Amino acid sequence: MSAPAPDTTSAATPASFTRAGIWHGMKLTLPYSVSAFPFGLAFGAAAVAFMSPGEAALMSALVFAGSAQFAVLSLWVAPLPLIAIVLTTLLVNARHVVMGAALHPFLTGLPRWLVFALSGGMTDGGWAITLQEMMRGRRDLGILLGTIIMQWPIWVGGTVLGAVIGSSGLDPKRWGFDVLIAGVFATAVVGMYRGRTDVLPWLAAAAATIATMLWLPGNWYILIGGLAAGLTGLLRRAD
Amino acid sequence: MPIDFSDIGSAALIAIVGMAAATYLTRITGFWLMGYVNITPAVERFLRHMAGGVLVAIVVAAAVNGDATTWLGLGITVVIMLLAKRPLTAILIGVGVAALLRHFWP
Repeated sequence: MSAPAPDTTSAATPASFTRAGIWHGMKLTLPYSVSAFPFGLAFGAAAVAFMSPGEAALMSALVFAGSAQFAVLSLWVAPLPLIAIVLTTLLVNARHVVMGAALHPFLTGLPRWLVFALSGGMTDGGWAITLQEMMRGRRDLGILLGTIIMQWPIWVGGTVLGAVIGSSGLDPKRWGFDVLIAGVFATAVVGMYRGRTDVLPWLAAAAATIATMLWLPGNWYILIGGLAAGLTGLLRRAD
Repeated sequence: MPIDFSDIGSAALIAIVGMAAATYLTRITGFWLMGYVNITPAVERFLRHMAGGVLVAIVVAAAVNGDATTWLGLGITVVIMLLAKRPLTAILIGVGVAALLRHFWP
């Protein structure tokens, strides 16, 4: 079935959900999912230093959020600090709120259950691809489903394969896994940089993290570092 | 030896389901909230900077808990990322340098 291409740029016309959109999303995501595979491998290999291979695979399948999954690794020590793990997940993924809000105006006329179901698989890359297409006038939520179809199996498969490699008894520290885990976030920070307004909040986060680590036990530094950056960003007048 | 993927602890299961629920909540909240209120620029600024701050906190904590090799590997990763804007290349070189150093000077 070939989808007609009506003028869908006006927000008054309802958005669509078509098979052509799904295909389109899948095609656009291919290069992205190829480059995401090594991160899945890395997660699986790093994760089995902290948890069982089954737990790593289940986490990738159910959580499907790379940054949060890498972030909880250093917390994954028995007895598991459940509150810290869930709180860290919330904080690392809080950016999704802004992403979903940005997509919202383009999704008029779609059933709520469909939007709520598909946003469960929204990743950074999938969101960027979907938003870009919608801003160009192709308001088809099938695109988001296409990005999920192309990313989920790659992420879970990469994790499983990485877990197999990581279970072969290698010493994680000796193989630089501490640099791997921190490097995922360090490169993400560099990639997030949008201008000089980011510098002060990040310095505030760094200072708050070090202060928290000196004076408070546990993993409060993630919460306090994040809040310090958020408040600093909030108090600055212009972006 | 085949690897057993069926070994999932009950505490781990609870933690993973909790993470999945928390993640799902963040993924639908933007759509859900916008049905009732507009996310103001101030809220957006707060969330955006908090997201960056959380990542900074994790990197800083890893550096504090790490040794000189961690710092060198991370430093190389950041410099290559700044120059080449290729995360995977940057991470692999940083990890490679750290692994080599620890191999020869354990």
